[in-house]
Amino acid sequence: MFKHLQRLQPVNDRTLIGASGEYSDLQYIQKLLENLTTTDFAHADGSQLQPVEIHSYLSRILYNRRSKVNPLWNVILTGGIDQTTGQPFLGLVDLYGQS
Amino acid sequence: MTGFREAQINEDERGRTTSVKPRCVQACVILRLSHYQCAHTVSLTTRICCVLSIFTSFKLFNNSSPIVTGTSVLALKYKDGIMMMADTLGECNCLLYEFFLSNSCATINLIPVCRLLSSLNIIHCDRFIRLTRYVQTFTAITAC
Repeated sequence: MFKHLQRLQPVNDRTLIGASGEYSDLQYIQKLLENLTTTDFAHADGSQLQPVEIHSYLSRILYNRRSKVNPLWNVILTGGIDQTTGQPFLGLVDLYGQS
Repeated sequence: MTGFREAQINEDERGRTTSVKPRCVQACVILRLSHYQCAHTVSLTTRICCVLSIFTSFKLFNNSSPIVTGTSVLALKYKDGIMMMADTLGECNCLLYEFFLSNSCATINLIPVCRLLSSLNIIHCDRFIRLTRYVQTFTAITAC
């Protein structure tokens, strides 16, 4: 039993993910998102990925792994504020890639 | 088929050895022609490798038995923002099953979250109080 597992993680300034399920798969997803944010920052254009885009990226990742019969055993919630419209967004992806 | 099942070694990246569930073996045997190639290309991301003695270079992909799992995440979308809450407890043996009344401790969907919402008014329940010791993450994003 582990008492201090952080299962919520901010992706960028306006996006937050929270995941249940297998923790090591979540760590793999966190690594992917970290690379994604770093690549986005390296463009140096001042824009950040919107929560809808993060959600879409995660759903593609999970569906891709599901199609390899090697699913990431997580259900991921993506929440955040859209930068342009200011509307809140909340999305859910499960381990089959359904969103 | 039975010979294959007994000959397989299923090892994850933490080095634990478990047995392969027959359901996954069948799926992978059916798909082995299409997955034979990608076993080499994406071998960096494989977490479970299984080498069959007959198909010597065939690596079996599966991720069928979660080990350390967390329970449901509660997220609310309201007018001005998003609020997300999760506990910090990771459990090895699916013992959190009884806390959130979910169908499976490895997955959540909207139904257990709704059940959790409806159970928040029984906050004096012993189990929930025990659970709140592990709740230390409470994050909110509000619109600027």
